[in-house]
Amino acid sequence: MLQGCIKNDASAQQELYHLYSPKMLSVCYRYAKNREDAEDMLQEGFIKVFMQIRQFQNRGALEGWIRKIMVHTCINSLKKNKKFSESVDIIYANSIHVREDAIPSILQAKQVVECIRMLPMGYKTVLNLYAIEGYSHKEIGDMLDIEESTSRSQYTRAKAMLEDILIRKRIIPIPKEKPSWISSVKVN
Amino acid sequence: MERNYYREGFENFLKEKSDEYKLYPSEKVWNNINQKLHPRRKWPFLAAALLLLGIGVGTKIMIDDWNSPVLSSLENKATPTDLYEELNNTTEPPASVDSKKASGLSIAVINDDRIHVGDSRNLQKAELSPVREPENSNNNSILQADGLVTKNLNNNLIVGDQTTDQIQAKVVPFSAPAPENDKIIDEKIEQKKENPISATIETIITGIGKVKKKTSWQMYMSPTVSYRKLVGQASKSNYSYSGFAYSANLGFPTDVNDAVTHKPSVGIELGTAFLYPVSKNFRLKAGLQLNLNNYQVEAYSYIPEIAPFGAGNFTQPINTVSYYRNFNGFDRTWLKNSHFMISVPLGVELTVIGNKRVAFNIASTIQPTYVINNQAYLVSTNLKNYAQEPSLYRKWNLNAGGEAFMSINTGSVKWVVGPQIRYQILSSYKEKYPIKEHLIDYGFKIGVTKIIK
Repeated sequence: MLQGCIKNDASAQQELYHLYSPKMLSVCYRYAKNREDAEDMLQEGFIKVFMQIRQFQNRGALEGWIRKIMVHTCINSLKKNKKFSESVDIIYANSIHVREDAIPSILQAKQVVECIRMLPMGYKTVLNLYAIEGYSHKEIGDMLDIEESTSRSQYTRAKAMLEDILIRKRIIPIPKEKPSWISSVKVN
Repeated sequence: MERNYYREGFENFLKEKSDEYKLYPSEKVWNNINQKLHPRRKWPFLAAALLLLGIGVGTKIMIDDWNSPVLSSLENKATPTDLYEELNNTTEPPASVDSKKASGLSIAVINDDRIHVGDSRNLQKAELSPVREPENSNNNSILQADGLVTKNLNNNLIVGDQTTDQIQAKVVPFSAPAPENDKIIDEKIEQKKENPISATIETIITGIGKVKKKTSWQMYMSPTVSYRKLVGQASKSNYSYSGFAYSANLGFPTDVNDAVTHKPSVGIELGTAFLYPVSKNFRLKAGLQLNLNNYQVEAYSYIPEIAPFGAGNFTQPINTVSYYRNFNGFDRTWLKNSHFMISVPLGVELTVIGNKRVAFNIASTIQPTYVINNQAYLVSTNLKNYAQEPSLYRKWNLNAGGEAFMSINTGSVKWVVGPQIRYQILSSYKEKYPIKEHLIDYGFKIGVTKIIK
C-alpha cells in the first residue's frame, strides 16, 4: 500500500485513505468549528500526506506521521482566522454556560470529544495539542506563535474548565477536594 | 470510568477517549482528494479553446455540405473571376444539374464585351429566344456546347434554359454580388475593349479585391474579473516557518495554494483590431490591446522581517524586507496586486452560424505581451511573508485568448458582444522564483466593427 502511494497509485491511495480517514477526521473535528470545516481540513491534510509520502521512509508509525500532518494542517487552517490568533492570546477566558442535559451521562468517547469542543478556541487548541497529541509547551508556543508560558497557563485553565464540564455532565466523578475554579462554570 | 480517570490521569483519559472516537467523512472528500491528485484535465483552457474551434469548424462544414451537396466540388469557384475562367476554359459538355438544386444559383450571360453574373431567377423569360446556332463568335462564343447556348434579341448569349426541368448549363454556385459590384466590373471592362478577355480577367480580379476583401476595424472593451493560478512548493532549504527541524514542519503548507488566500478583483481590457476576411466566414485578426489585471491577497501587517525569494540557492540569495506576514501578523489587510500590460493579439475569427444581420462567432488569439507596470506582492519562498521584489518581475509574456460572441449588423456598423477568457501562458515572475503565477481574466466583451472603405 505504501509503495503504491509512493508510485501515486490511486487504488493504494484510496486504501490508505479509507484506513485512516475515520480516525483523522475525529482529530480534525476536535480542532474545527464544525463538521464541514473538519472535512476541509481532512481533505487538505490527506493531499499533503500523499504529496509528501516519499519523505516518510518507514521511520516510525505511519499513523503517527499522518496524524502529525493532520494536526499541523488544522493549526495552519485555524491560524488563517484572525479570531483564532486573538483567542490563543486570551489567557482568561470568560466562563461558559453548560446545559446539564446537553450530554447524556453515559460516558462515551463522543461525549468527551464534544465536551472538549465546548471549550473556547484557544483553550481547546492548547489542550488538544498538549494532552492528546503530546506536544510540549515549547513546541506549542512555536506552532501557535505564542509564549511557552502562555501555552502553559492556557492549558491549566483549559484543563480546569474541561474537568468542570465533565463533572457537571457527570462524565467524571467529583473529586474529594473540589478545586476553587469549578465555580467559574455556570450551569443552566 | 472512574477507575480509568483516576488511575491513568486526566491526559491519558482524554487521549484514550479521543482515540476511540471515529468519524466517517462524506464521499466528496475522497473525490476531491482524488481529483486533486489525479487531474484529468491538465490543459483545460487549451482543450476548451480547441474544442470550441473544432465545434465551430465542424458545424461550418456540416452546414455548407447540407446546403450544397451536389455542387460542393465547385465551391472554390465562387467568385466571378473563377466563373469567368471556368466558362472560358470549358471544352467539355456542361454539367446536367437538377433544376431544383440549381434554383437560386447563378448563370452567366455573355456577349462580346459584357459579362453578367446574377441569379438565374432574375432572368426574364421574354429575353429568351428559340435556340439558334450562335453566330461567328471568335471572342464572344465562349461555350462550345451544341444546342445549349441560347441567344436573346439583344444578341446576348445566354447559357442555360431555366424554363426546363433539367437545366443544361454551366452552373457555378456563388454568393451573388451586389448590383453595384456588377456595375464596377462592367465599367472596367468597357474601358478595355481592345483585349476584352485579358482585360476582363484583370478587371474582375481588381474589382473582387475591392469588393470582397474589405478589412474591418474593431474597437472593444471588456470589464474583467481577474484570477490567478499558482503552482509551486516552498523551497525546502528556505523552509523555516517555525523553529522546528524540517521534519516537524511537515504539517505546514509546502504547496503555495495551501498557504495563500487571495480573491479576484475587477480589471479592464481595451483594444483595437483589424480583421481581414480570408473567406466569407473566416477572418484573420491583428490588433493592439491594453490590459489591467487586479487581484488581492490576504496578509497581516508586521514588524520588518527579512523575506527570502530565491529558489534555495544560497550562493545568490534574493532577500528583501517585508512588512507583511502571510499568517499571524497584527492587522489583517488585503494587498492589491496589479498588472498593467500591452499586447498584440494575433488570431482568427470564425462565423459559426448566422446570417448577415445576426451571427454567432468564435475567436482565438495568441498575445505577445509587454508588462508596463507591475505592482505585485510576492509570497516569500518560505511562504511566510509578502513583499515587492521588482527584480523577479517578468517584462515579456505570452497570453492566449478565446471568445465566443454574437455579432449584430446594424447597417453602418457591426456590434459584437460575448464572453471571453484570457490566460497568461508564462509565469508573471522569472524562472529563479520557484512559484509560478498564471493570470486568468474572465471578461465580457463589447465591441463595434466598421468596414474600412
